[in-house]
Amino acid sequence: MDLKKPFPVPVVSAAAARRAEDPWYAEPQSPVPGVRDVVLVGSGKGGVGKSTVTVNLACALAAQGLRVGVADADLYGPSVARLLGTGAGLAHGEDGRTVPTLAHGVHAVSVANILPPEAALAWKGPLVAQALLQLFHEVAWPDLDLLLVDLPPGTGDVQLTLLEQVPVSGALLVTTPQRLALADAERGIALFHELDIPVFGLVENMSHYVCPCCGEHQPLFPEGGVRDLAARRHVSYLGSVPLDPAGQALADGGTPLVAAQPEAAAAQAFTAMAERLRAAVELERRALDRSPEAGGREAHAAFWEQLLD
Amino acid sequence: MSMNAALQAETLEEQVLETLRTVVTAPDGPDIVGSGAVYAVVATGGAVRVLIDPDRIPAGEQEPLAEFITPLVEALPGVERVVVKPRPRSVAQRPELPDIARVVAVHSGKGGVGKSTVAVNLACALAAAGYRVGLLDADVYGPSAPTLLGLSGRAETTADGLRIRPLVAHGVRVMSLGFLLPEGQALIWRGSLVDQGLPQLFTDVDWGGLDVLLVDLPPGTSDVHLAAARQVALAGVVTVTAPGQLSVDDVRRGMEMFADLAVPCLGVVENLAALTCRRCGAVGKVFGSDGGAGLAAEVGVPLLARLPFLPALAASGDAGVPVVVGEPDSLPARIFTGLARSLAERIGLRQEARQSWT
Repeated sequence: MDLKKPFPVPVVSAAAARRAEDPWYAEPQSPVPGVRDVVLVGSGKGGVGKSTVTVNLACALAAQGLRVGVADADLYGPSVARLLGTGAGLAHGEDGRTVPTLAHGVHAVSVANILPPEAALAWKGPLVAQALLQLFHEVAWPDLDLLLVDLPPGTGDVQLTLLEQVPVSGALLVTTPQRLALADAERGIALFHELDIPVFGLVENMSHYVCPCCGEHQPLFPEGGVRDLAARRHVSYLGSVPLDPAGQALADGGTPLVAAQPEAAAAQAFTAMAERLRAAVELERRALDRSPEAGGREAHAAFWEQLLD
Repeated sequence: MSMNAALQAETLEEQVLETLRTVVTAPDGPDIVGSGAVYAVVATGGAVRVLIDPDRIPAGEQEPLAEFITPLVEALPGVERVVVKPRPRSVAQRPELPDIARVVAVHSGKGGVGKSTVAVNLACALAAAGYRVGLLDADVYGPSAPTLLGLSGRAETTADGLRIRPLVAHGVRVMSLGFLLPEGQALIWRGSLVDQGLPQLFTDVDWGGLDVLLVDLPPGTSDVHLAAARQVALAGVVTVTAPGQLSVDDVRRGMEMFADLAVPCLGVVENLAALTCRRCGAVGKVFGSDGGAGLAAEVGVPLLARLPFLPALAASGDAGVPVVVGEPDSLPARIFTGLARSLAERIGLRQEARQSWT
């Protein structure tokens, strides 16, 4: 592991962070080189399987022929490296930029690639912004159709910073059918809608448990209100994923279910979801292309400037 | 096994202290442990942190001292890594909250492992045992205590208008950010807001006298944790984890953070251990197995409780009646009651004479 080159290279103060000479500094909303669409994957509540969904969706999209990347922006609990089975340490290209790992057809960078698992990651606001922007501008992403960003749960610094700084095509939210998770997912939708970010849809995870022994479908949480929430908030319902013990074991071992057992019910659910997501992103892209080019961009920039002031 | 491991860990910390007692800063001066220059030694598995008191060792001398003692500690059997650093300033300044005997934080590395469910049931179990209990829901990003306890509505100020009156459910006094904001609205907390808002939740709430205040922290390691550890002298942290490796990784990160802040870990609660099929009875290890027990043994803290994945527990949470209250004879309720008992024992909780509290 290249500890001499820790990820936030080097850590500087918030004031200095604004200086344009910092290599990771980019104008707010400047495009990520080589990346066509940036899609955020969020969840209101933690532990609903957001990272698992992100990684499996990425694998499914890659299997469908897209060039896909995953940026693990969950600085407080990065798990993408473990889920994809990529070890610690990242290569550096000739220009000094970090080169993403490639596993199961998915290019990925996670802070866990660089930091030892037990490092106490108590990130303060300004450091968060810096580390995040490095994920986009300090990484030598190859040409990608889609870059999925695994957000930390909730609505905090990371979400705001990303939305301010990176041009995002849209977002999707992962939730379980629990009332607790639903309430938080609703907050998440509200955040994106308030900031004028399209929400491509809701993913219902852990909708039920399929017994590996007898095949019994057992609901895990009461009353599946995910569809209701999607209808109430006018976002599409992308589908439900059952809890598969095999998936959990595979995840601990670093192989996404979609890659290892594409015929499993949960894997098929991911594949169907990936198709719906692709269609939604495509639709959004066409809408953007139709809108008067310069005007739309300028209005968008003005919106952000006002918000930042 | 866990008790055994705890004993071993205590010896490791004591061994380190023993070694440090052989170090003096002046030829005939007191040793660095006796003089208080070593503020605390915290061992997390084989990783040992020696926290130096910057009030006793000036900044210029900390580096040489660290260089001197690091190899001494590294030479001890069982030590894998040594970090010598000044203790955080905040540790010394942490105020004791008036009228609150003990403050215990409930924490998890990863979200969704049932931390809030554990916190709420633990609070109810302690209240049922006769303690005066407060629950502060400090999960600023996703406050769950209101839903889990079936509380709704807004918190009101006291008669003098200066402090916030907690709500009461099942004998527990409860304060949550959920009482301060409308449902369905995005709550965006910038770091600075956390710094200002969280202290208020500790100081401006009219708790009355409490034997114990449980603080339900957000998952992970963030500003909120630092702010909480700065705000009050925590008696310790109860760590909740799922048995999978993913969750354990994140928990370890949290433990290191609390070790840095010189807050002891009181023990581990393993949740979501296994799921039993309702038809054929087959047990599925849906979230991996034995991670919590392994972690407890490795870090040397007791495994305080172990709960299976019970859909009924999630249902009771959605219904707003904690299982300890709703079904006190059920398996999870008995586990929570046992957890409350061992926690009370570990932090030396005393039952003060009940006072009328309005």
